[in-house]
Amino acid sequence: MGERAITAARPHPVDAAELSSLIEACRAGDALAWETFVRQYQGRLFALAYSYVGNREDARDLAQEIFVKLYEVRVQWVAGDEFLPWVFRVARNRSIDFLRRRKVRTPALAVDEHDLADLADQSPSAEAQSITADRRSLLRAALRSLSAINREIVVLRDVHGLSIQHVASMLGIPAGTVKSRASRARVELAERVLALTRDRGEA
Amino acid sequence: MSANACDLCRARILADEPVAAHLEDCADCRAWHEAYRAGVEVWRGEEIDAFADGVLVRTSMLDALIAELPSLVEMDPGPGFTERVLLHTSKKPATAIWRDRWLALVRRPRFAWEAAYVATLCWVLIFGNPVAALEWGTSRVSAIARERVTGTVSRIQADLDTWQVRLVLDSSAEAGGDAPPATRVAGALERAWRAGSAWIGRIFTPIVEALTEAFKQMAEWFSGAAPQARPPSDTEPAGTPVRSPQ
Repeated sequence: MGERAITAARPHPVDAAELSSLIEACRAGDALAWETFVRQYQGRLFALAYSYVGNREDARDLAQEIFVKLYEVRVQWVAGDEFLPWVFRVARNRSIDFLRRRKVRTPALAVDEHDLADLADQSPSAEAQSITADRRSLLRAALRSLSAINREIVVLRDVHGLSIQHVASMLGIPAGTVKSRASRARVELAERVLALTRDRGEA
Repeated sequence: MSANACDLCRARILADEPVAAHLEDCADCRAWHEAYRAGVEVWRGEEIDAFADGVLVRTSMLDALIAELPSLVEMDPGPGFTERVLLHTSKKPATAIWRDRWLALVRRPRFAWEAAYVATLCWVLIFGNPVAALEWGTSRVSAIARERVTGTVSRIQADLDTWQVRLVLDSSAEAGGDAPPATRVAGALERAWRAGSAWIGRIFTPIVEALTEAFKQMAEWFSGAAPQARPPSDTEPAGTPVRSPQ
């Protein structure tokens, strides 16, 4: 069930050859390639940063720090399928440093009002667009209400589509634990979504 | 039900057999099992329709959720984000980087407040309270000059007069004739002492006067540059606030 859905709707699929050439150009110091990389991945890394810090302003700062770090270590970039997990590992480490430094605690059920104005949607009508934005806002709120480890597993596994092995390696826990936790986290998330839907419906 | 357990597992679950080992590895069965356990109480109450609806809602919700989660993969970081990143990662010469940093510092709204604070701090640290200090310094220098120089000369003069009177009296008490050698020596000493005192006075008095004058001028200059609140005068009436007519 999970694999089907995860691999189906991944936005902006990047061709492997195109990504490899982009990585090589960035490693060689090509400014244009770097700008292309930033434009191509800023949405993903910003979303990842947002899942850690829970508000847009901090997420912007954190995403910027992640890009600066990636730029500083660009000669170490790994090509191929390992690139994205490696980028996410760097991003996760920077996020942890960021949270330690600023002692940010993610609010349990705080909903960023900017979520409601999520403009990345491509739906045709304004009504459909609003519904989608509301739905995303609700999903993000439900995600933030999960425990840190469950949220991280769902974000890395179900949102960003990393493999079980990559998530396990990144979090430093066995693959079996990731699988069972992911399953539990999905059920927990579904219950939170149901509860939030009921609350918003009543309100 | 869209989240179906495999037939073997379903049979085991329904037969109430332990399936923990299988549930460890099979996410679908695990989801089904969770839904089953959540609704089992309802099942026992023989409300089969409610149980089936509950399972259906949970499993369909889970399916929908799994399909929706990838839509959160990207978020718009807002305008200007790319430029910010490129600004921090571009290879600029050091002067340009420092210029940009300086401009960014200066363009902040609170820069004027910070600059004024730092300037005031420096001014106070270097000059203290300049007007009051200089006014105090002027009067103090004058007092010290008067006390040390003039007072010392006066004391020495008084000592010399006393000494001379005693020498004259002692010499008068002896037999007449020319003055004794002691009196002559005392006279010479007195003249030398007077000459030395006059010389010291000539040397130090202009210096003290010049210093005093300089302090006075500086005090006047500072008073003109930064006027202080005038102390209340004894001849002026007390400043009683008066209400304006209504």
